[in-house]
Amino acid sequence: MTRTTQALVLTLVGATLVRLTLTDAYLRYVNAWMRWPLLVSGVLLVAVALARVLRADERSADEDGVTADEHLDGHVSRSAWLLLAPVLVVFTVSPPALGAYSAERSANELPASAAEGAELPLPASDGPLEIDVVDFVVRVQFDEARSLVGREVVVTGFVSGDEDGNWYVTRMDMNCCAADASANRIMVTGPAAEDAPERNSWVRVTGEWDPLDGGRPTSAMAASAVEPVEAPRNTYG
Amino acid sequence: MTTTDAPVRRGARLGQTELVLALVLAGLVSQRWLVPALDDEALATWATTFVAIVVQAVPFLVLGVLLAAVISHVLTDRALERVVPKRSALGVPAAGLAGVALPGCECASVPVSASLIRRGVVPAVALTFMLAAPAVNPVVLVATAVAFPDQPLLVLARFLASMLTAVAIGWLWLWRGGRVPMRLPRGGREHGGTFLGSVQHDFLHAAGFLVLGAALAAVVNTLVPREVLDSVAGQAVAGIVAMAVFAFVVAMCSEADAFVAASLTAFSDTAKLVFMVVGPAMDIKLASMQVGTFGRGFAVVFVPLVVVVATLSAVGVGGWLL
Repeated sequence: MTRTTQALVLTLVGATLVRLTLTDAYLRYVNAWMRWPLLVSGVLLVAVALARVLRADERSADEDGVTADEHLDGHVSRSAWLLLAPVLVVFTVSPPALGAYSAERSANELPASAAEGAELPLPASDGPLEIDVVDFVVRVQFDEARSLVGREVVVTGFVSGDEDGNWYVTRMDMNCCAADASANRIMVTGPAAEDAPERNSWVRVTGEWDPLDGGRPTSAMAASAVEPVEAPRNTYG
Repeated sequence: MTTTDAPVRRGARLGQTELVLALVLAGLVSQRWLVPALDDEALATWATTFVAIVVQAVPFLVLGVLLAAVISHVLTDRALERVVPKRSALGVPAAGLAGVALPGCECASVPVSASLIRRGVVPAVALTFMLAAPAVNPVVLVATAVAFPDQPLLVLARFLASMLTAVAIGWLWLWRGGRVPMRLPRGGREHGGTFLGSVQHDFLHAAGFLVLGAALAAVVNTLVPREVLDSVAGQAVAGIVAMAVFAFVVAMCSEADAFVAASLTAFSDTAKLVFMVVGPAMDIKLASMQVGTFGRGFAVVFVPLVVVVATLSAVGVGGWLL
């Protein structure tokens, strides 16, 4: 890889990182707090590439010899070409946030740490109470007081399905990046749920916890209303 | 270099650069046709996971190559001598403890330890640091404590098993490591490079292999459903082997792996510990980066050795504490 190509590859990688942080696009892949580290390292990579190119011009102007530094450049391994792959993928495919495909393949197991907060009763409200999908799922599994019983709640998420033809209002939850994301989902039942909305579309579902046939508590809600909505800024959480 | 062949080389360089530019432009122009053609859910999920792993790792890698350049160019010999103990047998555990102080992900520690070796630090000491730093730093331990709120012993077990792995590998390397070939890429002050020169060189070198590892990890992540794991969860030995293999192939960053381990509720605590001890020490993207940094001959010995030692020490500590 020649010196100019190296600088170009470095610039492209840096520019890709900066580009991702200028919009909300980075939220499809990593946590919100990664914005500043991404921006800073992107700018640094571009700056290093620029500085190297400018200094190389200066040097070739006053002495037309090959310095040891330049000699070193010849030894960048061929693997550096692979860096073009994520750049091209980001700019051409622009991969979307994880959706139904991942949700339908990941197990819905909650760790014990999720139980924290489930013992608090649901706050009082006049009308239906807006809660997170994960909050609903956690309360179904861990809330001994059963404070979901008889409460009308509203949840927002995307639509995923299963092989039995049920559909779920779903959110992906990530810790570090999309590679470690797991799904939380609530089966939607009742007359308002009969026509399943399009897979991967976003919906706001109003309803009550539906314990189904009893036994092991199941995350399901009997819907009184299902309305299509826009995807939120950050689709995870 | 004579003046006569200088113009020829310059011409060749421009050709390559233009080729890359043309490729990127072609990609940009063709995206209108490419995106619908690539509209396959599995492929899109792979692309998201692949980009996520790369994007998550790059800032840490930048931090790592900057630190490596400081070690190569700024640190004086006297300062280095003061930081690194003279006696290697004691230097190994000291390097393990020093790992507590670098709260980065595992991608940062590969270029840092390579630069330490270039500066004349005994490889066993530098390798111990490389294994310990991503596993025992405070960020990782706090994340583990949050993921397992009722099991403080598991946090202690993770710390001990990771430290044991790093130190055991270091001592093994002191004893027999001389027989393993290690080919470091050139660089650093000794070769006349500049500070920015080694930042660029180290980054391009390590990041290429990181991309390869991320691509493979994303394939596993996309295609293998988690239920495959649950089918062996009940068996003690198979569960432990499955967790070690899973940690190697999914290449999760060490700050997140505790949450994933906690969600694998069907597995025994020892199996979860194996996952959290093997993962930061060795995985597919680290193995790929080490092939690039230390050479294939090194990685062929080092990678399986670390996986086995990490698994054994997790099983040992787990059996004792959990």
